[in-house]
Amino acid sequence: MDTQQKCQMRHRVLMVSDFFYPNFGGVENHIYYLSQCLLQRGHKVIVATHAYGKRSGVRYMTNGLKVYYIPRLPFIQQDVLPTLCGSLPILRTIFVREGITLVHGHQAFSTLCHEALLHARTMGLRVVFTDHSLYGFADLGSIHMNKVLQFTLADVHQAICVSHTSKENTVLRSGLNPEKVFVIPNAVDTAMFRPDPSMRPCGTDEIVIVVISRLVYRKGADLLVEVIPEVCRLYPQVRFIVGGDGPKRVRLEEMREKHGLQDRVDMLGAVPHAEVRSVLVRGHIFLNSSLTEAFCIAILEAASCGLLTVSTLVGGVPEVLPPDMIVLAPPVPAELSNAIGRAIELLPQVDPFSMHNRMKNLYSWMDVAKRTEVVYDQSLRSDDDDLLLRLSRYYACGPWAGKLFCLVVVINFIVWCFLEWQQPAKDLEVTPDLPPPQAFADELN
Amino acid sequence: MDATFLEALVMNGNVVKRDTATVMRDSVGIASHVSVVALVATVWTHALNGALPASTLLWLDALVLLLGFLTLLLTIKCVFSASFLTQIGKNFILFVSAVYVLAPVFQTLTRSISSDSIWALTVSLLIVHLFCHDYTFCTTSPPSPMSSASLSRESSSSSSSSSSSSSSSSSSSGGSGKKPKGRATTLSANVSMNASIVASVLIASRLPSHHYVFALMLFSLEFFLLFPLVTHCMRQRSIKVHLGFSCMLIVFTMGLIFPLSRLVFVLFVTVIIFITLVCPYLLIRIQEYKFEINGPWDEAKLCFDLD
Repeated sequence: MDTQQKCQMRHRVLMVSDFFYPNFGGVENHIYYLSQCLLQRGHKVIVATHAYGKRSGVRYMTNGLKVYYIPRLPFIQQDVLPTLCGSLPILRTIFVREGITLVHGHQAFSTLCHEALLHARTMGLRVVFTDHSLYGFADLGSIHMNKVLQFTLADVHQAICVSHTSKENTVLRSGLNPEKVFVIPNAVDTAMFRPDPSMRPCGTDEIVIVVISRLVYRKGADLLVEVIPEVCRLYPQVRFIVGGDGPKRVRLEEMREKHGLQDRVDMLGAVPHAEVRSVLVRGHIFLNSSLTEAFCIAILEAASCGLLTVSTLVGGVPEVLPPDMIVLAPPVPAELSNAIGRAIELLPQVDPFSMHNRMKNLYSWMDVAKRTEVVYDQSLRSDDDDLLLRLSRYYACGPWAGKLFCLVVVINFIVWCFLEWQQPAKDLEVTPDLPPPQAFADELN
Repeated sequence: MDATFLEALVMNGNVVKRDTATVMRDSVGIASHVSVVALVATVWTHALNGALPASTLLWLDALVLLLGFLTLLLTIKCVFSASFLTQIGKNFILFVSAVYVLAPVFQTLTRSISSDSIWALTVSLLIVHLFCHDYTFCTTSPPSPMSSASLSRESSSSSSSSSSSSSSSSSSSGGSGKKPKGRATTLSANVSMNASIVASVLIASRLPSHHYVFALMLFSLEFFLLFPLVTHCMRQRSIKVHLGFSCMLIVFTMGLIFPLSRLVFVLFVTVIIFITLVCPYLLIRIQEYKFEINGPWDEAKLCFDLD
């Protein structure tokens, strides 16, 4: 009886995003860890993304996480070409063959995610969407982007945002009912990011400040160019380690030459994620200079390694850590230098291991998975709507956009009907389920 | 949903409320530029009809140049020195001689093309010029005063860009627009300037003698290149003088167009009314729909120069 109930509660989830390994970033990380934890909790999880180079077709990852690399060419920033109905046949086959009941799309920039959510709705599946970034309202790109988001979110069952700031942003951008939006912060794999004070420079009173980020405008590389020489001038015991690459690297190197800081500023270039920890543990303070950030995983990783964090006060950053673990400052060079000064004063009171243990209690992916599960359950509760009700929701999106959206939905529905006639779902071969790792372990016991 | 939801939302935080009077006053600057273009086009038509002999046109050039220079002397906000005046003189001689030397080349430039195509091309180039023109230069007053070298640079740029006119000469004129103002000029301002110069060359190339070409080129360049500078200085000195001058210019142009063609006259008056009355009204009307939202999710702006 108990096992049967468990089976009923199991969700059969398809994670869809253009962004997945081997690409690397916050979204990829989030999908991977969330999938792993959901698998361990007894759900069936499949990931769908587009093909990365030669990596096309079906691959299996740790714990039997099945990944579909759909053979589509990315055309810009890893996004596939938007085709509206073009991806319906292959996604429908995946939905049916895997017996998917819930589709979980990630990231508003991902065209594959938008398409998959539309198809899932057409086929009457549950739909959940996670937004990972903040976006503006004013320029032409954002207006267009926000309209697409409004289209997708007009008919999702639940949405998830990674911070409260991100929730406000998403609600304003898409006009979604805020009651439907949940906030589930990201987490960090604390087992992977352990402190190691022995790696710090010993025997001297040297203080190492670590910066790891892509060196681009949005990550505040220009702010670093102003802050680093100032801090080096004020505090002679400070050294910098800068990891990361990008178009602004030249400016940082110029700054280093100009102020003669070659021996105090170490430029490592791009740091693979597996080596981030080995760089982090060399430092005492982590500096984040982002100009916009929905939720900064880098800060979590640093805090988990026992580093005191200094960060710009932007977006969702103030929500990430308790106030005694982070020093915040507005994105102004002088203020940021002051904040680093305050952090240097605080440093003797910081114990890396107690910080790590606090992080362990605060953030875990398993916790994220549990909270996501609640959202999934919630999405089951909303009643399944027929096409007319769905159309009325799309119609309310705007005088022009509403009609256009309805047209897209109707066409998608017709294409789906055609596919059902041409190849009925019951004729499709269903793939056998792998036993989830937890059930596997139970059986062994 | 918690109580702090959307607490930090700021609506229309940076929106500047405009009032009708200011908008209308600023729109006169645009109308005056439109009438400058109409004026030049009228003179072109007269010249092509043979109603305006080359000698008259040359006298007109000299008169306009003298008047413009006097206005500059009266209105420019900088100290005059001997070196500055010689600089202007040198650039002026360079400019005029360059146009004179190139006049025979311009004259035979479009011999194999029919007049219809030339007129069609000219009209479209003038429309491009009007749409891309940097009106902020003649309507607003930037905080930094004009640098003393602005006039000389402006004139030297005109000769250089006229010499490479039909090919894309945005690079040669690109620097010139940037330096006098001390801020980056947009691509459209350069496109506009080059469009006007190409239009002048096209029209000048239909004329019978190279003296005629020289006179007409000089006339066009005076109005397209040097005139915005004069109005800018005038505006900086006194907005009222600029306003009065603009109105006079518009009325004068109307008077010139009227005998030429009734239809064009009506069109011109309609355009002027549209610019000075209808557009400001519409702008004020749609102002209430302005909706700008800011909040903690905005990308932070750097408060220092990136260079």
